[in-house]
Amino acid sequence: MIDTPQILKYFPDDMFIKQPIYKSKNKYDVIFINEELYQELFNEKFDWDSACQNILNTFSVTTNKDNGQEQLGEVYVDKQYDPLNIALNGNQGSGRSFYFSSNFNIKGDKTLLATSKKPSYNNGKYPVEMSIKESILSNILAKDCPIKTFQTLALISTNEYYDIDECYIDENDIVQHTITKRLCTLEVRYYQDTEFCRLSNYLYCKSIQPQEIEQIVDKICQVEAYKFNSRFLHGSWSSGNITKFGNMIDLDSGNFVKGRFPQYSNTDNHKECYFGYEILGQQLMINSLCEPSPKIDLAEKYNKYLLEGFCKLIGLDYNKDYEKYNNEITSLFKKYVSLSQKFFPNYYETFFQSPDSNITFLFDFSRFFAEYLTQKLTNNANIFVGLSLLDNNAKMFEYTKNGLKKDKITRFFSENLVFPDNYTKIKAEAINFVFEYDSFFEKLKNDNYNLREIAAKQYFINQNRDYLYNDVYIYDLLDKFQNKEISSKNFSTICNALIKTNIRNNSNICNLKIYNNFLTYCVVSKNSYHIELVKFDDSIEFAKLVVNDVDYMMHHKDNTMLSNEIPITRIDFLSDNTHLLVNGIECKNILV
Amino acid sequence: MEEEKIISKFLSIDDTSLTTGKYTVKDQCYFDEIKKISQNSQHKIMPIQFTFEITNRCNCMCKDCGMAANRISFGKDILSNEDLKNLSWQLIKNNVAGYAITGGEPFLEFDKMCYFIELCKTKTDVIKIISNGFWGKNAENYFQKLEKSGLFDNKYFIPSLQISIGEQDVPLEYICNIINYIATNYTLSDIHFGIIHTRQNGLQKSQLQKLYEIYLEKFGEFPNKIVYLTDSYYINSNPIATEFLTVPTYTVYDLLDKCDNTYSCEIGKFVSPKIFMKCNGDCYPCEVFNTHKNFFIGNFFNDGLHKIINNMNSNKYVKFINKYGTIGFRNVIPKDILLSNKKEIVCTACQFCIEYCEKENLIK
Repeated sequence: MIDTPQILKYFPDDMFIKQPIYKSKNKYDVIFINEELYQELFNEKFDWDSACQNILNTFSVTTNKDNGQEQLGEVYVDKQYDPLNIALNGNQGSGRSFYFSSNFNIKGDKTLLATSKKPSYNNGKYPVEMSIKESILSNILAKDCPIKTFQTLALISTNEYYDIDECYIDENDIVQHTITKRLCTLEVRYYQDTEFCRLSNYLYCKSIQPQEIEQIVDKICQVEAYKFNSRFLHGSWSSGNITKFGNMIDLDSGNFVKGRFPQYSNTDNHKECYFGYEILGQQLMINSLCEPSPKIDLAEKYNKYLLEGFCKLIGLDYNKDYEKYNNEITSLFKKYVSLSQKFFPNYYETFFQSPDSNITFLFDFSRFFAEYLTQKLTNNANIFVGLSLLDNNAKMFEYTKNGLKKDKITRFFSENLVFPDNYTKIKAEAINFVFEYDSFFEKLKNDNYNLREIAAKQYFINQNRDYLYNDVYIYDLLDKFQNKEISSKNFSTICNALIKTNIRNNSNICNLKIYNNFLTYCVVSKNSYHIELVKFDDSIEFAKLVVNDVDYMMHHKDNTMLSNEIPITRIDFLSDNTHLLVNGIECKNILV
Repeated sequence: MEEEKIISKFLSIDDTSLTTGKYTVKDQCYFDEIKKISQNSQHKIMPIQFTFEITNRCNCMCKDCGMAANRISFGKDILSNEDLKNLSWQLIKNNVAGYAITGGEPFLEFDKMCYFIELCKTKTDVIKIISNGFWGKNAENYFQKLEKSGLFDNKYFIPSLQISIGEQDVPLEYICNIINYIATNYTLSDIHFGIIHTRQNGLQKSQLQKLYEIYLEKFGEFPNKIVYLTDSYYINSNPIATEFLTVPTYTVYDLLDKCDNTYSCEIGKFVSPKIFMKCNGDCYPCEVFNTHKNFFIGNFFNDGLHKIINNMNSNKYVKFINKYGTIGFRNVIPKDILLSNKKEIVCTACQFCIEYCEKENLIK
């Protein structure tokens, strides 16, 4: 017997259809397990082999009778309604995910509500390239985002492949198709509470009360502000991809990005799907909820949450510091929001994974926030250093073709495009920003603020996310996994490390480095840090760490090695001169 | 006569060539044979020499004895004929190329020693015997019995006889008798004879000098380049010694590159790899100064030689030293710790590193 899903607490039974679920005939394999969540749910110490067995015993299921053995029970599929016609693509509800047992939502098999005429929306398939992203991002956001997302417990390969038709418009404006074989997966998503209470579910039930809309607006603004400050792009907003309580859902289109300029990860057809513009999409959705009542403008709340997050990025506390330094912070904040979105018209580089997308934006505020105050405190860096940290050395390309892409970018983002004629003005504004920032922190110093503490906070929260940007991306790892260069056990270990090291809010773990047979990361305490080395196999007999010419021991502990504590002598300790010797040999062979 | 001139009469142990060093093979084909044995063995590291104490008893009571003689408080302090028969059988069965007999003073159990040599004759070689030479009054008698037992019937090695002089109270005249007998009756291709001279602080004249002078007085000219010399000094290796010796110390860091016993198939200055068995059966993969718990590889009487060889191969520190040498500890333990700790010899430096790695769990 399968337990009744907890989601039924929030909705009437007739919002769901029930569908038989079968034990799969085919052999499934585990690709990834969230180790921490597994231990919590299964109440046992994580061991890869036994965890795989438990996951496969529980979740080797299918909705397809032809692929199934005995029927295990029934699963629940939620009906949805989207007045904007974006979320469903012709389906009547969730087309490839269903509620299984008490707290799980499984994504990756066709449901009876997949009634779309388009095969890509009705076949139920969920390729590993998408599911692996969601698995990693959901687990990061569940800890990083102020409104928690669901967590992915496991990713399972069904060992079935299907052809996916990918369609795009090339630089000559010709529609191109590529057919690629993709591995199908099942993603086991875990929810504790309201993480899957989609707005589109409430819209189906017509159960949203007018007095609830203010609360929804508040949550959506909070999440959108988080996304901007934390450089996260969902890429596919809709009423089906967010809950009434602000939890983001369906993150397979999502990505962390390096710069805050407009860029897309899923579709470039809608302005509202670009980074920094998703709030416009949410506004459209709120407008549809409000009808026929007057519309609610999201801008004010959005800006308030953006400002709160900005305070955090510069190492301050909105509640404690904003009132006191209202003028200075507001001025800096406005410049940050405006300048961080400026980019040269690199029309073909607005896809987040394009090779030159990271030299398109003009100003790297993350680097500036992470390093300027630190350098000012340690090296007496002046504003010229600050300017060079802020300047992303963006490139302006010359385009001979005037096509759809150029038209679209120009139409969508004219206020953020920088050309030779407005470049000087923008640069002058950036210089002003650095001047103001510098004087503001001088003022804080005179007011006896602990600048070292502030700089340390800035340094950590503004760190780039390891292995989640286009230069070295998770797909490189996935390729190696699919080519069998990495075992699923090690691939899962890497994914767990990617999650652990890329949480920036209330976390102390960062600086992931992946090598051929192990990975390392830093665990930071107040005055020191240590390195943890996670082994992929038994080949590591011993290791030694040399930091700034001082040796540190590496102690074996189960499947890891832990270094002694290394004192933090400089705020930018990740720039310490570090050499890791494994079995007596210095390791430089980074996997990707 | 100046000591330097005396020393120049001896052969140096620093000669590590295969045919003229202190430990030499009879024939270069030894290595092919050893290779064959190794290839047929399930073990990566095969002991070439099994060193054992035939007795822990000694007729000298040297206060700084490094061999812990007369200090066995539990278990056997002398091997029985049955034990020796069992040991010879297991050495042969496990394809151990040779053995060394030490003590205590092994010549106190001379008949048993001859019995053992005879049991092993042509099957596994006697590589080395260490003694204080108390039997030198009647050297000829002893040599004749040794010859009869099979001392010179080795397959691979030229046998080596080593006499220790230092705190021992054996009359040096007896040692001179032994030297003279060897110089008169044997050549370097029959036997390698060595004096292990351990210097004591505060002596006006060294034991070596005294030995040399007595020899000149009794037999005339000292035989030139016939006798090997190991010249060292006492260290604090006796845990129950009441007096602490003032001995030069060196940093562990510096000492680590002084050990050339890396369990590789080598002979010359050292014959390795080895297994060392105390009289009570406790076995270690290293001789003399490295008998500590992390190097304990089993008890011969309880476990048998096959298991001990297994344990030797699975001992993480044997494996580590075999692969990286003791100098490899420099890549494990922080340099400041290796530099700030001082020891007298490489064995104690090695022991320090092993105990440190064990405490901190640094080697898997």
